[in-house]
Amino acid sequence: MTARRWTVTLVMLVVGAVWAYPFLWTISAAFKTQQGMFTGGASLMPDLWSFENFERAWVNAGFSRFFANTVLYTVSSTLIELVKSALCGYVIARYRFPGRDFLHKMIIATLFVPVASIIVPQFVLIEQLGLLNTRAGVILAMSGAAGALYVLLFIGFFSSVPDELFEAAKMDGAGFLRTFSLILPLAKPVIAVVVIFQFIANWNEFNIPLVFTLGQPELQNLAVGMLSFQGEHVTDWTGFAAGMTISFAPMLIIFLFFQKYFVRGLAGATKG
Amino acid sequence: MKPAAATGLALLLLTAAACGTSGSSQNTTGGQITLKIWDFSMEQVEFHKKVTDQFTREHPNIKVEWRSIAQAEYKTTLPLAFQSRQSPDIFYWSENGPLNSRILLNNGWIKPLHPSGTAPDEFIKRWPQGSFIEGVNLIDGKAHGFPFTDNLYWGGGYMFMHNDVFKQAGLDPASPPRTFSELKAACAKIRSATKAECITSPNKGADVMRLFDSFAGVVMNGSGFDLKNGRFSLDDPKILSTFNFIQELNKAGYIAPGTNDKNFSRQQFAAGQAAIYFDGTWMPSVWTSQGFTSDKYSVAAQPLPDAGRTGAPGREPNLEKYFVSSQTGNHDAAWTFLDWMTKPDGFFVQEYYKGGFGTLSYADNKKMVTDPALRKIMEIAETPGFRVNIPVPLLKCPDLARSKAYQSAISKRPDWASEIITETLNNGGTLDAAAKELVTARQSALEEGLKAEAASGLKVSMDCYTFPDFDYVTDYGLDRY
Amino acid sequence: MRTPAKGLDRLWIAAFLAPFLVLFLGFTLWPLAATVYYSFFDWSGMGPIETFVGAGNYTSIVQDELFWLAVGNTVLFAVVNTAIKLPLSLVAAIFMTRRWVRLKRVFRTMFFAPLVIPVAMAGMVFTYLLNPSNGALNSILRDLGIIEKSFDVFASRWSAMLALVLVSIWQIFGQYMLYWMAALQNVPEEVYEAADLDGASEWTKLTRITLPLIKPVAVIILLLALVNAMHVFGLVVTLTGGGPGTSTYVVSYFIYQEAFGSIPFQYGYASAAALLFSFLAFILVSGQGLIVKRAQELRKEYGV
Repeated sequence: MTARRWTVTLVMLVVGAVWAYPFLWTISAAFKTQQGMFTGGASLMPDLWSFENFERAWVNAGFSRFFANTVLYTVSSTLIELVKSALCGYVIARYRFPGRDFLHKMIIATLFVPVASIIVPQFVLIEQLGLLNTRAGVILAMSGAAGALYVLLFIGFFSSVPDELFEAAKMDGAGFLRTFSLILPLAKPVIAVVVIFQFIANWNEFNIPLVFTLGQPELQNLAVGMLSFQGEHVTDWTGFAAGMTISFAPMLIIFLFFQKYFVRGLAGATKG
Repeated sequence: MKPAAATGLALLLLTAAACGTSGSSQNTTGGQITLKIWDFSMEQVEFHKKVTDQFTREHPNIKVEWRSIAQAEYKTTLPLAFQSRQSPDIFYWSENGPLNSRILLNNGWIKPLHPSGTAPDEFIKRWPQGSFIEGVNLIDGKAHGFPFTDNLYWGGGYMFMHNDVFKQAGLDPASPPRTFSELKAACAKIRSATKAECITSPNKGADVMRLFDSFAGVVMNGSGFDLKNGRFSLDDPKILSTFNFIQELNKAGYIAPGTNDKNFSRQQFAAGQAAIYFDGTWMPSVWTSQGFTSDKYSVAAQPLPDAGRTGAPGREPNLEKYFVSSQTGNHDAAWTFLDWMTKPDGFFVQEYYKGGFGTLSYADNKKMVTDPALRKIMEIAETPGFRVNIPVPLLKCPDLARSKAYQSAISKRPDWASEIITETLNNGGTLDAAAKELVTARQSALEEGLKAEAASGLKVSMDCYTFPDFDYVTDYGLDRY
Repeated sequence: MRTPAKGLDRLWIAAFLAPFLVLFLGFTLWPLAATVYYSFFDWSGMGPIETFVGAGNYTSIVQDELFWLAVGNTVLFAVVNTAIKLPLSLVAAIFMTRRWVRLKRVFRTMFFAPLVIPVAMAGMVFTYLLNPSNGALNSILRDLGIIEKSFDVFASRWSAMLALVLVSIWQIFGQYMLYWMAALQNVPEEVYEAADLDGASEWTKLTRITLPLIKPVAVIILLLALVNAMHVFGLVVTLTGGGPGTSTYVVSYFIYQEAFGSIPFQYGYASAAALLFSFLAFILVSGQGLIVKRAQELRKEYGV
């Protein structure tokens, strides 16, 4: 047992180091000069510890101006995404109702449509609703953008919850809502997955916030601000790396916070 | 477990509340007009702030909001802005060559520069004679655009040499290689005497054309279209032999390996890992911004074929860049700003040159430019025959302004040429067959397109694209149409 | 077992479906219908939609060799990508959910980190690291004496495709690992402990315990993996630009180039190409699903 434990740990350490290397290289680029990044090759050590990149990134990406928007967009649309897909996934997985199979098939079929190819009609819709250049419009479009992906995860998860749990709930005389509220906590791992990935996706999303706030640039988010590193003739990679490094922190926090839900989920619950 | 359901509902309410916070309304505050300008010059953001602040000091009733959007996004975003009637008052657009103003007008995007339609003489006179041409930037006598960057200095065709690497190889950048053969000999020395690559050049996607067209430019007028014979020219024997020369350089190891973009190649050159880089007028400001100053490199003209020049990079009246939106409600203010920014000795011009962004068509470049590399570039460009005015089909056939045939012959697969060039450079073969296929497809698309348009009443034909009296090396003057 | 909807439950079901349906209708179905409509027109994406071309966009796509090359590359990419990343991420996830594995938190974070890198940045990093003149990979391999001369992974079709596959796996691996970890929460560790006592091998545990228990989610993860891989775009733009030549063209890059590569945009054409490919992908993936199903039925019949 101990031998196996050490071998696995060692192998994982090596794999993990290789895996993390390009990421660490990017972080170290945030401290390098343009020239240093280019000539540094594989080195993770900055040529001279320069914090200038961070100052530039802070100003150019507009951290102070757009941070609040970014948090608002990310948090709201992650919540909407979570709620809508958990509710829908639960119902589709556990109940028979007219149109259920059709809906399920539609959800799967629309998964194949590339999101980018339908942004123009989405834009038209938001415009018709009179929500262009509003935060609500951005949030709606962002929550709509992930489409059907997470619903499927919830359907899959709720379908694999043992039937005995539902039987037990029924025996206790639990109604619809009560049963749902008993089962939902079991879905913590899926909830964590949705929150983590939707959070990252929304935090880095630049297309929707750019296009839907054309008339009100002050409504944009950090990812749009980060585009400013890509100039007409020059790309400021070290500034970009610095911006990425700063904006890595919130995503890491979300990840570290929610990853605890992967540790113990259903196992405990089935026993009880 | 009631809390879960309650939390769910609370979340819904919370998000609903978040949706309720909408943005403030658009437009003006306290009698002050807000003028919106969009472009994609992210490098110039600080310069824009400086000039707009100064402008507002001089015109307190106009506030300018100058916004730069990264180029790739800009191209897809601006059309959406027009579609939803939220276009800026002034916008930047630099595609389509001499057809630019015309196409934008057909798109319904632009208005004349001046609210009355006719720009005052004093404005027109800021440019050299012949800068405003009916069908190009004058439409029905009304100025719809104005040349921004100049068209002699501005463009490709320059060879940049890294001083240190040249010296290490026992070469003198002051006497640069002037012919293809001399270039090859210089590369041989560089490769044997230094650790550096000889030529670095981007080759990812369409960027490979930077190198290829730099060479094709001194052989014909580039690898795209032969205006003398009215046909796509990639399969022309002269172009094919130019390609073969580049292929030789490549096989000899004189071109840096890798699949690189322009940022990479420029840095490779600046880091002294390559001796030579071919590119355009914008390079001094790019390198200055990265701390690589003009005392560290030299500039010369693109080397010529051993038998001498048989072509020159084309000079076109195509450098209109800023336009007044057809949707603007602030036409007067937009005019005031454009009038202000094109004052030859004005604040805008002075700051533009201080930023080293390039050469303007309405200022005295010789007086304004101080950067030695840029001055050298100007000196090279002034050599007779370095850049020639090429024929402009639009001037021969005004109906071309409404023709889509040429654009659709190309837009079906815009990167076709660069694709076959990279592919052939990588597999070491010849370009002949692939080039022929491209030319045949594009040529027949163009001919059929023009025929169809002619049938529907436009006065267009292949003749519009054919100038038998053009010789690739001398100016095709405005008097010859 | 699905409960039939009755009585008050129906109201609740409707209420639960409503938020999703509203957004699905507005941001997926309606835009999809509009896209179908656009696909029958020669339309630049703005101005009036007037020039009806019928199936014209579709016929010209079907006749375009480049489109089929892109379809072939996309399917190849998706299959190889999925075939590598799913089993590996499952193995990683299994380790990450075992009690006896140390430093789980550190490893999870290491695999998670690449996910947050914007794709333009990821492209730049690998352009630099893989570059033959001064890139880290070549210099390490040279120092170790494994290779003599630098090589350019993007210079030939197959190595460029492989690089795309590997870089995309590098970036997305953590996501699939987390998907699997979420799925594995349905498997009580006690079951493994019991199996351990019986002396079951790891392989037996995987095929007899783990996979059957997580099958509903596994099917969905497989589906997501294939679909996401088929939509690969950003990495192709930043790493290969479709090259060398057109040899790493994928469908989304084809659409981007043909429709938005030059002005005027061909929005109708892009819509047609996107729909056509979605349809093809749907057929391919569901066809593969049917084969798996049939195979399972056969296995049951023969009691294998």
